[in-house]
Amino acid sequence: MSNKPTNSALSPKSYQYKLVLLGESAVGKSSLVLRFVKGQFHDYQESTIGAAFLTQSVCLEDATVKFEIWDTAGQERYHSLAPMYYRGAHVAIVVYDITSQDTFSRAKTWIKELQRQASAGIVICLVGNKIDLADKKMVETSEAKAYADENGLLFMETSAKTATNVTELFIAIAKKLPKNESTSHSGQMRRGIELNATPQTDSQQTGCCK
Amino acid sequence: MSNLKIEETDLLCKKGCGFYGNPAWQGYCSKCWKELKHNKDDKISLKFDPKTTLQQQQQQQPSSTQQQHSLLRKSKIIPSIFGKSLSKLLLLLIFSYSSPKYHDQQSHSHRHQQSKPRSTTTRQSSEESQKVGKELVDYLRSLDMKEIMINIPKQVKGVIEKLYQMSLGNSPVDELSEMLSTFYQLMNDNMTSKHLYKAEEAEELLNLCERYVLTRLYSHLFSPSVTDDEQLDLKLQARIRSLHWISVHLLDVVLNESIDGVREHVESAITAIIEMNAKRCPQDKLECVVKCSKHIFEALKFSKNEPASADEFLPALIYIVLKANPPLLESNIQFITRFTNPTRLMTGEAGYYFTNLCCAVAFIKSLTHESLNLPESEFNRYMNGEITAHDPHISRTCEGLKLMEKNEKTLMEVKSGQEALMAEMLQMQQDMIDFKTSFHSQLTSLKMRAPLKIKPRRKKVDLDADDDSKVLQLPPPLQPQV
Repeated sequence: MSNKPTNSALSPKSYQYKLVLLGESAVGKSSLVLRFVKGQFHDYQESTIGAAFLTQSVCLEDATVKFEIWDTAGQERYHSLAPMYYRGAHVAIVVYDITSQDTFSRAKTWIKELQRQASAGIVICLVGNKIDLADKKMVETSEAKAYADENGLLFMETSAKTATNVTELFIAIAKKLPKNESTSHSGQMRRGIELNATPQTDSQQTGCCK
Repeated sequence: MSNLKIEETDLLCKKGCGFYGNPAWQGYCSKCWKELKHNKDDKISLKFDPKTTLQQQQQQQPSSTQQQHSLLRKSKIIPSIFGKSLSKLLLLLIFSYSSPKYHDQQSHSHRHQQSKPRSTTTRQSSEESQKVGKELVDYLRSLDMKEIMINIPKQVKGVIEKLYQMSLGNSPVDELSEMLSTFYQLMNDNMTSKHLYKAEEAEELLNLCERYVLTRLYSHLFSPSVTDDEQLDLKLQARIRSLHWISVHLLDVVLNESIDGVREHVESAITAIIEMNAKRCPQDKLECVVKCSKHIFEALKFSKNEPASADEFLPALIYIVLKANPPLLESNIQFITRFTNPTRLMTGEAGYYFTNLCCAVAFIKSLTHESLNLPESEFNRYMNGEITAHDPHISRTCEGLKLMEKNEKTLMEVKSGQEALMAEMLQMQQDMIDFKTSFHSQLTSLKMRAPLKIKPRRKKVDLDADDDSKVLQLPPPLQPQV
């Protein structure tokens, strides 16, 4: 299983994960991602015109983790559409703005929903953004941390503006993700089908294929 | 063109057996053509040159199914000579799918010598199918691995045949989709488990197989009769039409359509999403969705001067879908969701934009006054057509006037250019005249200074010339003196 040839010669293994960004519209979801994608490593993403779909890799000691980042529309009116985005996602980052209690309670709603509806192994991460505005802080770190611990979430406070904790956030996520073979390839979804099962071909063939 | 009417006798087999002939078989019926061809083949096989025949096959490859069958027959007669190329022949055969049921019918009717000819339709693959089929075969050939070549076409043919029969038998569409996704899974597992080739190759192969299967069976799988896709299409279309009054501002879209560049990208996005219906395989359809999305991002970037996020993108996409009202949108979405490789929709750029499109459609379907932050009464009045959209910010002028303004501007530019050109021309004319006169005066003054006298040319004297006058001028020849 493991001696499959991988396309990258740089590291022994590379994994790809789908990451979904959730959060109220003005909390800085896309600035967070733009900071992460443009601030470090090789930025080889094809399109820089939009910040809605981006990819970026993180190098750990033993593996390369490639994130495929799906941004979602945060406005309340599109809330019901969120499940379509996080279907099949490996990671969900729920972002709130530390200067707004409202965005924190919206974040909690999303987390509840994710726990109920998203795929079983999903890694959920709660992120309080805009810590550069510490003087206007409305959501206490202890409060959010307690909530995260209670629900088994990763938790971090970041600032997309000053780049505080942005890279650290994605590295923490990369480390937490399970590194098993089933996610190493984007084009695979194992469903327990026998590998060498003979394909059911038509027995009524014209009799010339042997 | 002289005889437009075709008599029934013209359609019958040239051999006169009473069955209908086919132009593809040079006017013979299948049976007679087979016999004829068989005799020919036997003759050919006697003086067989493997090299030239192989070339012939390759030339004939994209031709009609019938020819490929005859090639196969050749291979059965002389398999040992073909050796390596046998697998290639197999490929050719396998991709020239024809329903076995049909052949059975034909031979059956021949055997019993029924008096009434049966009219049956041949399943000849379309141009598109032949093209993708060729792509797949070429790719398989380029990989140059016998094991794969034989196995994959077999499976592909198997699945096409099965799906075809199922769709004829009106099986529920879920079963078809389930079968196809099992097929993709199986192919993928088979390929990765055998370690025969690289991940990219496996991906490309799977991609081509999918392309081929779905292009081949497009008419059976797109908006199948067992589903109510068609009604849903009409319903969605009517729904979008009834929402024509929704403006950029109601959706909080940041598009500023008064900027030329933005309008161009909006138009391109609309074209791209409409174009989706014209494509056959999901990959191409998804490509259109991606193209549309890219244009939307460009338009947003133009309006906002910074990369747009999903917060801006989704409303803009909804707006574009409302404006475009793409044909058979529901059917297209269903076709992609049901039959493409599921991983394509879960990951990747195309998957992301397709998800957005699905979201946009879901939003449009379930849109209420709340989603637009409008009072219910006002929403209803809009829907009833009692009030029409009046948006002072955007379409202050109608499209025609905008176009007129634009044209006027262009005309003005052309006019000023023309005037400049004219002035330059006049200037040049003047310059030419000036030049002429100055040239003349210079010339005359020069002439005055040094008048040109042309002396007559000196004539050469030709001693040998047979001229009497010259001879006469010469002194008389000396006489010998004794």
